Amino acid sequence: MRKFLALLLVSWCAIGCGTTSPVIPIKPPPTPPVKPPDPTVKPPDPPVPTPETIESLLARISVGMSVDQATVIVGVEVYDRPPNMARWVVDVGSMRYLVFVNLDASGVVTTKGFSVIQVIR
Amino acid sequence: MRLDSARSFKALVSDEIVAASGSSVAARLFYASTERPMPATLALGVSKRGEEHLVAVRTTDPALAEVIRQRVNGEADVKIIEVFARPPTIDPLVAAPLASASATPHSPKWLQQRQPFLEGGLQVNVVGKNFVGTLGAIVKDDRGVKYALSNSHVFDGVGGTPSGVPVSHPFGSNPDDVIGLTDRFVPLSALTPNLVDCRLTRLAGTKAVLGFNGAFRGNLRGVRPVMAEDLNTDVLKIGRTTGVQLGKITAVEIDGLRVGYDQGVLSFSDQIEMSGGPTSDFSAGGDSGSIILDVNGYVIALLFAGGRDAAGVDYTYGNRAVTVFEALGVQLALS
Repeated sequence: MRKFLALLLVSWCAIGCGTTSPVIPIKPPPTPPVKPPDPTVKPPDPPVPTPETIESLLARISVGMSVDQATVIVGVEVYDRPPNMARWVVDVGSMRYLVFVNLDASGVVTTKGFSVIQVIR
Repeated sequence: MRLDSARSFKALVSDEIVAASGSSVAARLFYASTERPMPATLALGVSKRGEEHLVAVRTTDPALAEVIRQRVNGEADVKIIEVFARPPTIDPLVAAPLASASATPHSPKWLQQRQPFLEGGLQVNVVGKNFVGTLGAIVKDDRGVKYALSNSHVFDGVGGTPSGVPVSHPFGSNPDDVIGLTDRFVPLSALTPNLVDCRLTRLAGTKAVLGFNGAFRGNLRGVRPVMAEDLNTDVLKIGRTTGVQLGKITAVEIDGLRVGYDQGVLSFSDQIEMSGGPTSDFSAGGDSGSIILDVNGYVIALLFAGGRDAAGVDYTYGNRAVTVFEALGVQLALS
């Protein structure tokens, strides 16, 4: 048993201590040559803006805004003007909406909303 | 008087009618199959003055009204009134003014002119008939089919017009004005109390604003039942004759309301009464078919009749909206 342990120790030393590998310096990878921009390749398109939804359109109309300011945001002529109210017909995407605001006596937006205009088939 | 007491008195009067009809099997079966009967010239409901509920008495017979008033120890709200369905017969030239005529939006004149988008309040006409009424609301069934809701007497179910007849806005047979075809309705009975006077026109080839109501000036929120707690609260409507009007609920749970039609006098139960007060009529002939809203944008009734009491005050009558929508199998088309 003692003889076996001594042999094992020698073996361990032969593997772990007796032989050491030479240090090989690590070279950085070669830098690829910088290619000049290809004038025939178009630059990527800029990010596409999020398409406007009726909710985002409505969000840009603020309570306290004048009816004229709201008209600029909606971007179309006023469809009609019931008393203390203004309405616009707006196409957003494939949908048509009736956007409406309630106005106080001085023409300032107090509430806002929209309804879907649907083609009935 | 407590609310329960007013209801109990109504039930007592109804039971007296059933008892007076005898004990035959036929009579028992008849009344077991109908809404509660009322005496032939008497309608009873519930109204409220201050915190006290009253028995609402609506009749053309002052002597009978006095009998009822005494039976409830004076705790009655009596109106001597004759009620008629509200479709005016009109001159077609008046009904279809030139589209170029200027009009304030949602005014009666505007509602009677051709508008590119259908919405509640606009004038409608069954092609070939010389009367008009009001489109109450755009509704839809479970399949998503869209309809215009109005009264049966506006879309002429009462007059016998079958399904499939063109309906126009604002008036006449011009193909460009046709909005759809008459569809289902609830038949009215001359024998038993009715609950609703309603009919649909199936829409086709037209554009409609879904959900918007010009009286509320916003989007409708839904349909809800009218409760006794709603007595004396504000209501709104938009109709082709009187435009946008504000009124109050003056009576609910009216049973035995007798309403004059061209075809005869019919009885209605579970009706709602509204008034714009002594100086303002809540509705007039031609407003039939308008929906009546609470101030929060919920539909509570379908306008169908009206009349003036002895003092000259106009009263408007409506079917309960929940009953109308259930009977026709539709809901509001909100989007």
